Amino acid sequence: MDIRSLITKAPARSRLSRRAILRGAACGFGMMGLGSVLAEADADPLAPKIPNFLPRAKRVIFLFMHGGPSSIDTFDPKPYLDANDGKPLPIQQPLTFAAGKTGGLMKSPWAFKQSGQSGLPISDLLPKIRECADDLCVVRSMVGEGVDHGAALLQTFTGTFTFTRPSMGSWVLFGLGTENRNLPGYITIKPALSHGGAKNWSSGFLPGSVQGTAIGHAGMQVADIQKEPIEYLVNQGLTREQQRYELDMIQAINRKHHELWKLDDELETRIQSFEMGFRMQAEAQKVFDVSGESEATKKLYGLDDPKTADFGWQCLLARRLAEADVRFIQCTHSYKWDQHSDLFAKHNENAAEVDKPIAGLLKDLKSRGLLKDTLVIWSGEFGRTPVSESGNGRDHNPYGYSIWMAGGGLKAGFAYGATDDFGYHAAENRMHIHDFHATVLALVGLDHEKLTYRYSGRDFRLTDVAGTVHRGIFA
Amino acid sequence: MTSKICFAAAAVLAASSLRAQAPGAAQVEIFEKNARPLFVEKCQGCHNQKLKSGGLDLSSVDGIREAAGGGFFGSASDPDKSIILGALGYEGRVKMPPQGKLPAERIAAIREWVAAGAPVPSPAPASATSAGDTSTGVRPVAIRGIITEADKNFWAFRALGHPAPPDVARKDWSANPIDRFIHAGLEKNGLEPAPPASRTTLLRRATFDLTGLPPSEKELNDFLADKSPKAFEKVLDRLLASPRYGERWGRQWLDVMRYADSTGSDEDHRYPHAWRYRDYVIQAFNDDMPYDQFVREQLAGDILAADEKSGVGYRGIVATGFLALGKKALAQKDLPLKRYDVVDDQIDVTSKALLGLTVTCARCHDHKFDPIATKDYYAMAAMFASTLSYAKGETGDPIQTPLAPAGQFETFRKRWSDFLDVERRIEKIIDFDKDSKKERDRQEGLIAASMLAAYRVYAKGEAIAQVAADTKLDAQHFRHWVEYLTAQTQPELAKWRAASDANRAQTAREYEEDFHRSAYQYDQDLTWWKEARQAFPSAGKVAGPRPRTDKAQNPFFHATFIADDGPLHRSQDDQIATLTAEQAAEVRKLLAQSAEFERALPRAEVPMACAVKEGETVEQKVFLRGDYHSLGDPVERTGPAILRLNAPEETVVTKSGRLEFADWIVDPHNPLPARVMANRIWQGHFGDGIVRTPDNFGKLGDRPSNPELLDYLARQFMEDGWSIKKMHRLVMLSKTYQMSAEYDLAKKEKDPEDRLVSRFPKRRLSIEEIRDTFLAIGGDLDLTMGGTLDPGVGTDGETSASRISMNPESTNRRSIYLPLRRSNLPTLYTLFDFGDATSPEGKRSPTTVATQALFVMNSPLVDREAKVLADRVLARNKKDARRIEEVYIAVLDRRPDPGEIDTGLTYIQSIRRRWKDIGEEKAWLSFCHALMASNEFIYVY
Repeated sequence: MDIRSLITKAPARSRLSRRAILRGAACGFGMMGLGSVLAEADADPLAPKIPNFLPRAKRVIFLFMHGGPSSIDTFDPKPYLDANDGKPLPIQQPLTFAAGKTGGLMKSPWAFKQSGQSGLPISDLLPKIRECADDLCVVRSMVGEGVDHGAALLQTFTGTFTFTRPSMGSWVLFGLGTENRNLPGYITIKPALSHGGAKNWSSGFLPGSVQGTAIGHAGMQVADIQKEPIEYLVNQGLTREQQRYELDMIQAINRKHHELWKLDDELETRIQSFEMGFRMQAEAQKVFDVSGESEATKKLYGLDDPKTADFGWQCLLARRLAEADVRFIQCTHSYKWDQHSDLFAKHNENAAEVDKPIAGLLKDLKSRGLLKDTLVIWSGEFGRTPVSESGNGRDHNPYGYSIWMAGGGLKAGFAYGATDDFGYHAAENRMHIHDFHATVLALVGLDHEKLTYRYSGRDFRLTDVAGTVHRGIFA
Repeated sequence: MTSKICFAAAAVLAASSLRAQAPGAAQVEIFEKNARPLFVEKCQGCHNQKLKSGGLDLSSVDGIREAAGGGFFGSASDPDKSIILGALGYEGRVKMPPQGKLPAERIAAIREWVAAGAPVPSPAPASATSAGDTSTGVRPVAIRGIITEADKNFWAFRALGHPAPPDVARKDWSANPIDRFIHAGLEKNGLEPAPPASRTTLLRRATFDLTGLPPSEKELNDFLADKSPKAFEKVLDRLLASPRYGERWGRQWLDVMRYADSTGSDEDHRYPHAWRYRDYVIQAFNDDMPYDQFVREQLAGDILAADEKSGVGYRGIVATGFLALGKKALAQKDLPLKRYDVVDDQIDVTSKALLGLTVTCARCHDHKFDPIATKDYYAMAAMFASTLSYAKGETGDPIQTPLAPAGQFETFRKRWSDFLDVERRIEKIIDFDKDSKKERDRQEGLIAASMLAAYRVYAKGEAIAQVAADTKLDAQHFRHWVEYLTAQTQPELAKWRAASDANRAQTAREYEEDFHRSAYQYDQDLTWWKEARQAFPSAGKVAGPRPRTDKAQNPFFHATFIADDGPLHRSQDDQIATLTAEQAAEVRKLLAQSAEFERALPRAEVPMACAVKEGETVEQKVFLRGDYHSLGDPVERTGPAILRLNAPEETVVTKSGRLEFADWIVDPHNPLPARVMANRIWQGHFGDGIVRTPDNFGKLGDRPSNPELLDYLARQFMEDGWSIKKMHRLVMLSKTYQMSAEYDLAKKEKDPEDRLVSRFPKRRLSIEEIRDTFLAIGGDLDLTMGGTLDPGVGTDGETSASRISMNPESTNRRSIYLPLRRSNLPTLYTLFDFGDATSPEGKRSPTTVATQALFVMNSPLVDREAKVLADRVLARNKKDARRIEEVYIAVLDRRPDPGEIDTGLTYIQSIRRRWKDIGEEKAWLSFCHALMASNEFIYVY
């Protein structure tokens, strides 16, 4: 016996009409009238929207290197430092984090090599990413204001460290909506709990549905995350069929209740949210299960090596989520890049964990034809100083640092902007974090001046009152 | 030199052409779009009114017009010749901005503006009335053009009226004046009030409204049986007297004042005593503390506490948590910025929570819409900058004030620090824990090997020396292993003894792994304890005894490492024996001293509060554009000028001025606090306030749907001695409150948002109500009040899971008692629109999304409570129909109709018939679960 016969057998005085049965419980979501589906889309912040202009990328994968990798040891070679190793910094030092602990200039312990057709110079620290040089668009002139991690993370992800504001991913999702309603549109894998924590993926005053959904957190093991990638995703007590049966009962109760309050559309919305949750449960678990990937693919991401397995899993998952049309995806290499001392050994260790997975991701995206409409971003919260700290480390440097992007209609094999001779301050084509945000939004088809939200009486933007789109990096 | 001459000539031309035609909208737009942003961002730092670098002020329209008059922007026909484009082009001697040449597109934007004739909007109207012109004798407000007549007449700033309840057609529909105000509005719009709600509905509504929990079956029966006209009044008396009331309404205040238990921002350190403020708020609501006193204590309780006559005592210090518990960026290296960010937070919470004003935009510029000037902002800033929030200027931790007689805390801390000092001196010579861990680490990987080798000795009779030599095990350790294993009696070795030859090696490995797991946990506990012991004394707390690994849980680890005779145990004497004679003597001396100090240690914690303190009085100046490097005019320590218009006279401000400010805020001349709070109370009952933007009564906020009613309530509130509970009675005894939620299409079309209140608006339960009610349904809700569930201080490792707020599924206490780590709020709270616990937020915006449904469908908590309910219902009743009824009453607070009983029973039968693994209990669980997931449950009608 199914729920339909159960309901129709109920006495007439239960006030449950045949119409309600046909509309809801028995036939489920598929039979909903088109009208109400459209009504849902209207009021729904996640419905796909038309961008302001032609998008170069449909989705974003943000590879976040928490701690602050050194630009002058990776993507921004500085011959001046080689020639002046140990000498005092000839300019006035700006506000630093580790005041009083820094010394003279320190040359990079890694050699740079030009590679690919483009000849883009990348250091020996990241040999695998270097193989992808012709796909990278390096920005060497990033500028932020936070000299401590918390401020720098918050500014990188929300534009400000003074207020609680929506994160970049939330803005992107809010601006574009999502094409896959069975998965959250903004997913952050193993995010950092420190330095702003969830504020870095929060929706702020935007609707809660554009909040980033966390897959575990930086302190968790992948095996534990896989048991329940999203909180409340897994039902422990019932089989899927049994749960469907129970859900039919819930909806039957809801339909009867709705009969009393026919004019209240919110009730219909909540009825549908359960159907969507039920579908999401099945779909999400499929996406998070990477076991069906080929051995070659697993190897490509370094899943076979304990050193690279964690970030490799993150990158592989990012590709799967990209394929499933998740709008904004973030991977976090947890708080490891903060080398106030022991730069050479520790940066080598860190690089060994991410180099192969990232190169694997770029190659995989490319071979599947996904790179052309995916924007991949690699960034820390800042770079590191050209002066040494504690003899063999480097302090935080938000005044001029490098990030790279790939795919998404960008110039490839290209370096944009420049720092001064020391690699301390951005000197050419300075790209402030506001500019970076404006540029990322432009790449996905959003005008940062038009993407606004009215809150507390005024219109807010990701870029506040600033931001310039740097079209110089567009292909 | 030549350029100077050109200047003069151009000046005449430009000035006359400017006067000739006021710029049109399109031209103003090009100024605002192309020019102003650049001036604000890149130029005003030096080219402002104060510094006027190069004689140029680009910070105001007047200044820019003056610059235009000076020919600075050249001529429209040849923009590239202009001084500004020369400087921006980096071609001549003057290169602007000095930080670096602008990107080409920004220069192009300026060129476009210059080519358009460099239009500048007209200056602000000179007609502005300064407050000094009024006859109230208030000190003139030196704010140019900020307060206009229109401002003074704006509804929110007007003095509170004495509105008389209007005459209405239906005299019978008036339990109190509220109804007449409401009915008048309905009449005007041709609407009828909805019929009264049923008693069942009303009881559920009132119980959730006042306590955040559902009524019990007995309460339902009592109310249905009580035929007296005072029946509902009796219900209100009962609910208002319930301690649950403060937990529900206190939580709403905590939203308003952005409560959390940590600093958020960068490092998210705990506020280890924040909970005392939370408990204070709950108590204040339960005691019906007059609201004016509540405001005074929160703004200046520390000052009141110092005055014995006030009778406020330590409570006042706790109350300043209102100011002290905001977000704080502890790693911020720019110290003046660090201070003024806290000041900004305090201005924000004070102005939004108490005055319903948004003031903080005036940190950088005059408020664009409300009559709030930067001067007003810095006048308030002066008070909070003269107040301390950090212990040692901005380099210290947030202040913690002992709630104890002078000297008690100092003695406590001194004793502890002396003791810890001796400990540290010992550690410098030898760190016993580290040393034994080091030794243990060396041996840990050899456990399995040692056990197998020992077996050869005690079971096979091989010679101990020979085996040690064969296996290259350290002879001394190995002897210990042999001794330990030879005994053969220890219960933890049962499995080892039972091992066969085939699986002995495997068993040994399992023992070794078991040891690793226990050791890991032990190390963690020990590290936590050691850190806590260092950190706790400055918070008045005691870290408790040294963690002991649990003998029952970790018997093998305990027997081998902790026990004195364990093979891996290292005694203190053994460790000291490795030192030089001199060191050993010193260590023994220090150990004796440490033992002596330890005996004298105070074990009772000193209660403390996260609070603010009076600091040195700051001579505050306006910071131009919010930049503390650019100083403007000095300001007094006082409140916003617009609210001083009706103030009786100037008060003399002492020290920070917070106390006078608090008195001034709740002075009856000030219409805002009573309006704002009356509106919050109305909102608490009707979902929306009379003003739907409870924290913004300014021009960008909502207009009151019924201004007379709001003023009536505000005045009544003050006249009733600022009693919040009296307001609840007034509102809830009205016919308006007791209406049903029913409406028809005509009503929906005429007043879709129910602004006129022609029916009771249903509302979604808050996450606290949802969670607490699930727990209450099962009977698991723990009603213990107060105290803290987070024993820690400081923050945690960057990737440590303890940075996440406590999981709401891990305790049965009411939700208000769950500590909130600002940076990582519980997912469950965020899911149900809890807000960010960082910005003052008087209203949550409920959303309905699929992930909420997943919580209801899959959460272990909901499942567990459904099971408890099902089990109870099954155990208590034999008859299925009564069982269904009991579930309905427990979950939906009403009796089912016969159809619902049939449906329920059919469901239970059919699900059991379909699946063999679903027995009676599981079927009932599923039915309970379905009702708990229903729409009817989550909405209050």
